[in-house]
Amino acid sequence: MKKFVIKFIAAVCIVCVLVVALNAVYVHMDISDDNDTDKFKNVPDNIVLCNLGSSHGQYGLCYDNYSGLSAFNFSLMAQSPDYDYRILQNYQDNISDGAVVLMTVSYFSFYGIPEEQESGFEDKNNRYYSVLRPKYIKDYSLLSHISEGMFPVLSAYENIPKVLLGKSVNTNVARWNRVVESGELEQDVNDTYYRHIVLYRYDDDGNRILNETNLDAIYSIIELCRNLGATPILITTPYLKEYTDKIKEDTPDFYGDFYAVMDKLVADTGVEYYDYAFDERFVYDKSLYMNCDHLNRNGALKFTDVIMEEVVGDRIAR
Amino acid sequence: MLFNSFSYGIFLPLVFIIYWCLPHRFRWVLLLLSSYYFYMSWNPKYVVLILGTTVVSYAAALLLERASSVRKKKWILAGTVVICLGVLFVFKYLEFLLNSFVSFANMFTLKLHPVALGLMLPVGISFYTFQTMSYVIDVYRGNVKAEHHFGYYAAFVSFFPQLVAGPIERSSNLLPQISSRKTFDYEQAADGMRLMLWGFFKKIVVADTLAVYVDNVYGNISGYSGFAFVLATFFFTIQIYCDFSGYSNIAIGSAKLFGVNLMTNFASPYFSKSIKEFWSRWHISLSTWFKDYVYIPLGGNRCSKLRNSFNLIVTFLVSGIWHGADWTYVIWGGIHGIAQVIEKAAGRPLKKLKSKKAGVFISWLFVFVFCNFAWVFFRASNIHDALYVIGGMFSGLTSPVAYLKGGFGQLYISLSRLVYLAGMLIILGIIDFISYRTDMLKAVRNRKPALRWVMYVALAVVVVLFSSKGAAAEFVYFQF
Repeated sequence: MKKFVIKFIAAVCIVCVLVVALNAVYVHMDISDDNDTDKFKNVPDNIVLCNLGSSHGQYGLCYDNYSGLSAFNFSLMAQSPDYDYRILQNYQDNISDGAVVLMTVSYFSFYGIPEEQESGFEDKNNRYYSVLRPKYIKDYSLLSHISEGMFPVLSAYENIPKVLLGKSVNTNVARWNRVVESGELEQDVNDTYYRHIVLYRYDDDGNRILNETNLDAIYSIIELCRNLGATPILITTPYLKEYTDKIKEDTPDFYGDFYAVMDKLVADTGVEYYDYAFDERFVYDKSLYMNCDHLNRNGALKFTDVIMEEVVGDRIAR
Repeated sequence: MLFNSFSYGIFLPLVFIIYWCLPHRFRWVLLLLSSYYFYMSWNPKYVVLILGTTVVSYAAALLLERASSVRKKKWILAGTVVICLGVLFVFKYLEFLLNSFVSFANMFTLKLHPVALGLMLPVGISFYTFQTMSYVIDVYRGNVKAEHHFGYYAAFVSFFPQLVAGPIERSSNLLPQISSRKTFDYEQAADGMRLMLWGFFKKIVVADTLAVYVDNVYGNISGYSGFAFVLATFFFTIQIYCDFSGYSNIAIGSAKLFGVNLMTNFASPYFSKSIKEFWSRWHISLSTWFKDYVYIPLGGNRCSKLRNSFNLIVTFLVSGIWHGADWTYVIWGGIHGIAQVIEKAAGRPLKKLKSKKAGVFISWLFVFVFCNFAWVFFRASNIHDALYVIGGMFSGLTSPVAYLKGGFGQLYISLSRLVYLAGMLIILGIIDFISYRTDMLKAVRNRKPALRWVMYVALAVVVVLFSSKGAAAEFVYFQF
């Protein structure tokens, strides 16, 4: 029995060493960064400007032209305000006194069912294992931490050969650099409208769903920013006119509802809110968009300039 | 507690070490306690059922031994079967039966509402019920003696490696192994590890990968058509085999660690060249159970051809309903029964066909395609869906290239993914083919140690790389 146990332990050790080595090679060679989480490996200290939010913030703001500034984009695709709050808590020590924290507010930000009940939540949630400390991760599990955060090769499955053969591609950058084509716009508007307005606003019985968790999270973000000595500012990024027109036509009462919530938020907290959804410098120019509601890299650079000029101003030292 | 879970990875080595450190007289206690803990990790409430079934069958066997008249024995047997099957019936079939009655009544303009009893099927109930029944029947027939030691008997019923999905063991094989004095056998334990490793590969790497495609298609059949149905059905054919035979490998392997040899449950069934051969290689413990306790008591083949056909069909219908309380399972069983009747009727021409190499290949292909066809009923949610899938398989066949491309496209199978899937299936096919022709464990044992270790480590690394994917995936047969 001793021989058996020793051999078994030896086999387990060999397998572990091989998996760890494979993981190191995989991490080194994988440049795909589909979830855009690699940026969290280099979160700067003393951040004076940052933004939270979903893909509208992720793709809509770019601080590359402000290299002297300690700025960071914390936004991730489909990120809920609840997770924005968790991110802010996790990285609060990196935020400088007097910093500006931009919180992008999207139309789906405070509508819809709790994200834990959405299909695909587990996949979305897994990305935070490489971003946040365990206490800030929803439904934390040690096994997921090992497979998603510590050893990503364990959740790579059939991508492993692709990465090891050097065929991994950064799809995120490719996506951000593209320009929306007129031919695809109508379909895109319909799909986005369905995803963001129809799907998020109504339950199976046709009732509007206000997501209290996310709404509360925005209040908490504002409070935490102020506790940190930072200035929270809410912004809505620009959208193509075709998209906002579709909402106005098909759901006429949507904007009334949305702005009522925003007005209450502003009144309750005294936070500043800047709405660029209908800004004429952006809404007609398709060359600035990767699709109907997301700016591309060029659009992000231009929009960031506008934000720096009109919103941030001289609140931070440049 | 699933075999493919982290908990089992802790539980099994712990029980294994304690087991071999304990003196013989306490080992059954450990097996019993660990088995009940294993079972209660699903739902502690249902431990009452397995305990009740154990007590009833244990007492029945003792009463049978003491009964003086045949008439008395018959009454005891009937009572035990009614109690054991009654529990199974209530939990597994009552709702189905009531709803079938409701559907039937509604056909005659009665407006009855479907019944929802809300009873959760206790895991493993079909397996341990059949195991205890076979024990009581064997005692009744005088084939085995009643076990007087309740602890040994309870450990036999609840032995955790085979508790939730078999193999359905006979008391003549398992009971003596639980009560006998054992010394640690290195080769037996090493064989157990080999079997478990191969079982994990089949379950985690193959079955769980294919399950994604199968679930997508069968969960939304209106979203798919043509070759996508063929692919999904083929994938299910492989999935269910790898899922269940993988489970059996892990179960048999786990048992070997405790010095217990369970019966073989699968023997490369997809290389069968007749339906009869398929059933001698697929879920062997259940097939032989039905043969011994249903088919032969009905008269087996020692009767007229017509009666024999009836016996076959009834046996397979019962086998179908054993799998699940739905008409789809009954049809699945019925199809296999009818196929065997036809096969038997065409005995001579088939024998002639198999005498040629091409004939052997045609026979194999026919059996494999037939199994795929029958699995449609097994997997589909209802008969309507099954017929929709079968009909849909032929849509678009007039343009073969578009038909094939469309199928792969609908399932998002790119060329690289196809290569990956094909590689996986080729490994499975090669190992299974070798197992079909020879004793695989012996073949592995005879290899040079270095080569063996390379194989073990490579397989283990692949299993580990896929482990988080399969961590939450239940075994298909747990639902039965």
